[in-house]
Amino acid sequence: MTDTWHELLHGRQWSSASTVWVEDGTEYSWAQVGRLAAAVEASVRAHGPARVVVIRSRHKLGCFAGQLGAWRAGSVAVADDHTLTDREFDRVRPDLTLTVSVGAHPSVEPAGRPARRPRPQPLPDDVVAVNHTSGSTGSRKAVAVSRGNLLALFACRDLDVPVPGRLTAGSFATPTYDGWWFDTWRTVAAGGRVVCLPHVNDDVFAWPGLARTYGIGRLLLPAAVLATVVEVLPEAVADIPWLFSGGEQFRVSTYRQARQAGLRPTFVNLYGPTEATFATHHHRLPEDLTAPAVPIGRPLDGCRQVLRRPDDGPPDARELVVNGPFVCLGYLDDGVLTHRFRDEDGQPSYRTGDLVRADGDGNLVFAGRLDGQVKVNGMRVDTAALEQRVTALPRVRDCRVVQHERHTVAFVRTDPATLGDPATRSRIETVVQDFSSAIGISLVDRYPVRAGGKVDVPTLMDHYRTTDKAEET
Amino acid sequence: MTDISPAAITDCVRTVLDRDLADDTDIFTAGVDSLAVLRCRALLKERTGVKVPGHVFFEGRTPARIADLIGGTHAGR
Repeated sequence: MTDTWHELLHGRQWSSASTVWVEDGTEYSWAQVGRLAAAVEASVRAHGPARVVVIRSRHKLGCFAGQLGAWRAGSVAVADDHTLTDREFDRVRPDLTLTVSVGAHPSVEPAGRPARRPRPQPLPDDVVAVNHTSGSTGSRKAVAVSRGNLLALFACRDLDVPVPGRLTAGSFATPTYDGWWFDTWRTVAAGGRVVCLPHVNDDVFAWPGLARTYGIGRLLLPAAVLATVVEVLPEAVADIPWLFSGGEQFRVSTYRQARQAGLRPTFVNLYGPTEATFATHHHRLPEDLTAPAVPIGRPLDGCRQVLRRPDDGPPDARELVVNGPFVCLGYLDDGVLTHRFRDEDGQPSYRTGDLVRADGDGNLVFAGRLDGQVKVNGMRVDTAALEQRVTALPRVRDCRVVQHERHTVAFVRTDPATLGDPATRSRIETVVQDFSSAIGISLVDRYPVRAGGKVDVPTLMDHYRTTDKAEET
Repeated sequence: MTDISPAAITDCVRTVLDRDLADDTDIFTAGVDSLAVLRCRALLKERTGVKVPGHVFFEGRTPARIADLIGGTHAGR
């Protein structure tokens, strides 16, 4: 295992003149990336000793080469694309911060020196990186990622895509999200090439050209971004044969719209908590999807699952617990490991807090959050099941149950022509009333989304108050 | 110099939102979200051939100001 790591960091590939990285219209060879990493390594050694090094760069390549350099120097590498805040730095307590510039004149500069206090307790030797949780359930937590975690991810056969020759992967995830490991390091560890795609808000129109020029074999997108692109600009991903979705639920509506737009890629739905490196489960969508929900599927090879009966929750749902080499060491706070992800026997284990059910084929289907169970008038409502049943109705594209202040509303998305159709509304009402008569219904032809891609709940609720609720009363 | 008039932007927003608005209306107050911005950008590219980056919409906020920014961006090149 250590040999594999050593080979990745120091192998002869880093003297090759062939391209390993494409970003902002520039191609970089393995040797160029290797030289930038050598400069980072030298800087860490000159300003060290430093157990935890923050690599700050506006370029993805700066973060990537910085990680390589910091790892060569034996440090924990924390990539920062200028989005981490003092809260996150307080958790990891860096000993050194380096700013890496890429371009005509690459440079590596120390960026101020944090006050050196001895770390109350040393970090375990095998910690090499940090994952940051998305922070949707509070502030972003720092997760200690080990060498073994990354090597297990690189070795996982279930994440391979069959492409002729070496793989070229599109890179969308920024360096502080766990998709980074899949997009960049897993690709490079397999001898592949990384092509950075501009953000959707930047030059998304450049995607097709990049996909064709470099033959992008796979692309991972957050589910919300994939939904947006498929709906509005399907040609942006038309030439990419493998599309991976992660981060949140892959909605049936995304699949249907992709098919309507003539897209015929292989879709893979990935699932996994940030506390388990990158992903633990996968489901390859069939050619014809008829199920009401896209399953999260089965454990990736190397991962083991335990389905735990929750103390509270729907009787047939189980809490998903993941075990095995993807499970990270634990949370970091004030620079030390504060909470380890282990079961009673001391084995790596993480309780996800996600509820699942097995479908007829043995695939797991997401059934809501253990801590996010919605109560309506004191009654527990299985919103995931409600959403899935409504989405399965004819002429319905999607359904999302939203609880805001005292109202619980099922927002049902249909095509604009169906909004006023009484038969559709009546079918929806029948299903929703099965769950609770206190849940409001609102038909919309689109979900307003905020810049980050999340559904804009206050705007939806305003819509409900001004239209549907006004009609009811 | 690229010729995109405020009217061209207003037309796109009008098509995407299916409602009328003036050149100095704040499009985000009028219901434009990031999905609608991408729709507008795709439509502008289809109609005018100009690839407008998203930040121009987020910074400009009104059709007139967005058209100004687009002119400025291209004039500067």
